[in-house]
Amino acid sequence: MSRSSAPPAPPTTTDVALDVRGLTTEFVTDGGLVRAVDGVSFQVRKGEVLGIVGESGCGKSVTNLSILGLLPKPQGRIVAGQVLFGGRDLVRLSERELRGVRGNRIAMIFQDPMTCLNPYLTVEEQLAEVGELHLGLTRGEAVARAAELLTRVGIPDAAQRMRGYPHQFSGGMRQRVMIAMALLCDPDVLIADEPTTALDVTIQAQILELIGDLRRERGMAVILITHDLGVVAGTCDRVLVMYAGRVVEQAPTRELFARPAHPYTAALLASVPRLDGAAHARLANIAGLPPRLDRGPFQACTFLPRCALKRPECERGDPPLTPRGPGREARCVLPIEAVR
Amino acid sequence: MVETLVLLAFLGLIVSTLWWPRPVVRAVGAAFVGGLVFLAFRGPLGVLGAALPALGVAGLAAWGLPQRVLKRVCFMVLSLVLLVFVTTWLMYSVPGNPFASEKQANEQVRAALRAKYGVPESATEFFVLYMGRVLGEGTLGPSLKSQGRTVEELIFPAFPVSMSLGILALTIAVGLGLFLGVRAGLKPNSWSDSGSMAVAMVGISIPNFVIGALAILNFSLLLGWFPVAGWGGYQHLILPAITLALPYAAYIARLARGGTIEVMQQDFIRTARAKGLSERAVVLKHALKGAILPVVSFLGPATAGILTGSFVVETLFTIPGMGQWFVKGAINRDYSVVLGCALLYCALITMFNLLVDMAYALLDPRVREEL
Amino acid sequence: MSTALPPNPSPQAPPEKGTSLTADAWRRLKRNKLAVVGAGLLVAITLLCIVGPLFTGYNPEETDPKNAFLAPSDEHLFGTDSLGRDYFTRVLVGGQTSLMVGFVATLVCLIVGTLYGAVAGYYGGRVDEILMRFVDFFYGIPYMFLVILIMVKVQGDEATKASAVPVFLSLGLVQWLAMARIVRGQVLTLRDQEFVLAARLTGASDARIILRHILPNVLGIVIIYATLTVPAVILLESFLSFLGLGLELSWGVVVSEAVNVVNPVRSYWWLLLWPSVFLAATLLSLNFLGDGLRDAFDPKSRR
Repeated sequence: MSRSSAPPAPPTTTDVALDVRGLTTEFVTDGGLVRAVDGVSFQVRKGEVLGIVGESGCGKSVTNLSILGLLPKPQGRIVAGQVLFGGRDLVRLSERELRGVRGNRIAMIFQDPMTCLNPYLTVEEQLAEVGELHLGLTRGEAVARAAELLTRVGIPDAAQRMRGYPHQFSGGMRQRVMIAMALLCDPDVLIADEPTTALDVTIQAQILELIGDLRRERGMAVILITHDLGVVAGTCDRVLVMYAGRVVEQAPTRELFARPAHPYTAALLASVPRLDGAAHARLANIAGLPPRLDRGPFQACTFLPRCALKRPECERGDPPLTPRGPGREARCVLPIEAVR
Repeated sequence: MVETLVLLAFLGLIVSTLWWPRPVVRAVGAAFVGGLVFLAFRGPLGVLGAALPALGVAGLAAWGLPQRVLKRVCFMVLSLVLLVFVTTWLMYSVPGNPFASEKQANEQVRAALRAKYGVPESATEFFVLYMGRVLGEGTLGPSLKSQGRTVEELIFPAFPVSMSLGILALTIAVGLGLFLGVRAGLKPNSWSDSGSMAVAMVGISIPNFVIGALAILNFSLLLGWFPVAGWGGYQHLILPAITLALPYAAYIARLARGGTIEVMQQDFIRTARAKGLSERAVVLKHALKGAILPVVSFLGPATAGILTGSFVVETLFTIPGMGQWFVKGAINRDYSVVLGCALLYCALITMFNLLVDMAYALLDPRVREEL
Repeated sequence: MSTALPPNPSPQAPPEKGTSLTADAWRRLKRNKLAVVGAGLLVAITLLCIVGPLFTGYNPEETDPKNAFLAPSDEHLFGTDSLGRDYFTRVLVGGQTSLMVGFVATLVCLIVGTLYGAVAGYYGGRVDEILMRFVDFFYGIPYMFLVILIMVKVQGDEATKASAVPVFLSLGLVQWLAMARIVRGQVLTLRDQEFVLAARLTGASDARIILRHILPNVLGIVIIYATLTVPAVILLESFLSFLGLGLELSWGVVVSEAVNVVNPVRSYWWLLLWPSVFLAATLLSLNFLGDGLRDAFDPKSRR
């Protein structure tokens, strides 16, 4: 865990819920070593929603699995960086200590509510076990708490319905169950990994609204991983754009949409139809493919082959993240004025 | 010719269960369940004594069993009857007959014997007579070769022998197979995984009578730990049961390993870990149920295989089980003994299959709903 | 230079179907050492069993009571059995039969099972329901019963006693059920795809569509399953031989003769050893090869 690879981060203030510094994660695969996350740093403040966007395979999900030590073993491991949470570095915690954090102080919900709930156990069982584990509740108390939260996330007749199995719930309802499960211990941080991707558009809006409401109500920090810029625009306070395992831009949402500082962000925004309200387009319209991550360190800018604004100096190496005004950074040799 | 027609008619009847209306399925299925109870109890309790519980059970079945189960019962019972017919037909098509070897047998003597034992010239007639006897009198009839003895007298003493061997072997196979398979599946590609799977592959690939012979040589003759062969106390049971169980243990281990690997890659296992559950709780509470499902669906064929596979092991260890009667009966053309064995075994196996299906439904709530 | 990298296949776009998929599977199969060794061993054993008996100079059935129970020597490579027959020749000729039973019975099972399953899957609906009902019925019968009865019939009949064909047929016929189920499942998913629709629009007959368009697409899984059926059949034949219901001379016959004479006082170890080694090596090779094929062609099942 070399500290040298972590870029200097501003000192942790008390309202920072989670502080990730220089996180680097590698996978051992058939094709060799893949650096899926490369020196990612960011902070999430209490009560804030941070969006992380990027194409699939850009490392956004791996970043968040790394935070909770949920990387698939033995292929994946964190090779450098820190995850500071409540005065502790999660990367250095033992498995046992990490289990005390997971589902308790930091909770996670995943993309596909169809497959993320255990089909063999009742919803009640799956919810109540969290309360029993982290809050030391008795079975009866845990069931009562579960029913209370299910009602809060909008499941009618919760006490009755929770005796059923996941397949008896619709997709949107299952995602509500997942959210209730995540909120059972009043976490400080909620990580939502593509929570609406598998759902119908109308249900998507309801789920996002629910997450927003709960965040305000409980003052928790939310990390929202998505590849849908429409979701970002409506929900997030700040946005982190990832490409090829790195952060390429970070900015407050409003400023990012108004004035992207990286050609990749600009391309992403351009791929969204400009008619307001039709903002749910996917990010598939940029020519070319992301680079492979198993070929060792990059000798040029990672985005170079697809960049519409390439310059000779882009060949000289991957540029560092540099400030672009208050609270903004981007990884590009061009000044913000040159990016359209 | 007649046989072919009867066969087709039977197959048609069995297929038609697919489209029986619900009340018919309910009534016939319940009647079949009651009938089975009646046949099972009429021996010890007599006709009236058996009729009472049979009616009770039939009533309960009609009221309480799910439609699917009753449909299965209809299918099973009809299949069982068809099986008796096919067996009869096959036996009759074998050249030679039960009385071919009688000393100085001439046509008249044979005809007399046929009449005495109720063995008419055609398979269909025999089938009708046989079913009439089984259903009407509740007996399996006299043996055609062991004179003066009924089939019950011959095979019922052998039945518990084969059953205890089979049950012990099944227990060993499931216990050992699940333990090794789940353990290997939790750490795929580790040394212990490759090791146990290599052993399993060898277990599947060596005929168990070779393993059994080696076991007798080693443990009974050289070391003297177990009796060589025969039947008596539990010591006589151990080597044969292990011999019988090994290939199935190996197969179950492979299935359990596959199931475990599959389940451990599921999203809901990641959810369980993200909740902060310990690895032990993740495996025991969240993974195990799904991991053993492939093993549960294999239990039906495994039981059939172990019960009939015991023919070989019984021969090797000279155990007085059912196997000898079936094989001997088939070779000697003792129709009623063969049919008795087949009926008993198939009834047992079909019932076990039904239980396995219900157990599967209990484990998997998505299947339960379809019942 | 990142620009110099070869084009990157995207994770979302699978490689072109067809050649590259098979090539990929072949590559995976060749990397699987156990499968490669299994294939090599299988070829070696088969060749030895076919060619070997020509050069031993003994007749597998010729008895020589004076030279019974000879230990392996230069004269008799594997020794002699209880009747003084050359054991090497017996094991090899027995191997011919066992391998033949395995492959021919599997071929029977393959043809019957594939066609049955393809018809059920292709027509679907009622036809499928009825055909699969039959399969269910046969599945419920312990096949050992049927095989024993059929073998007794075959051996009791003078016309068929000397011939091995009925044995092939009956052993193949008890194995086709699983094949039919597998093929049906595959065909059910294939029949609604565009290429079948296209064939239908050109006016091709059902038989032609099944044989020319659908079956080639299920061939992979059929071959994989067939590879695993061969050892099952050989094993089943050896059980029957042990019960005295098998063929004249096969590995099962040789092993069960050995089992009957081996005792701890005079351990004629070679009698049990050689046929068991050949039998086990063949079955292991086939099982490893089948497993390897399945892993290579169905990466989902890969460990």
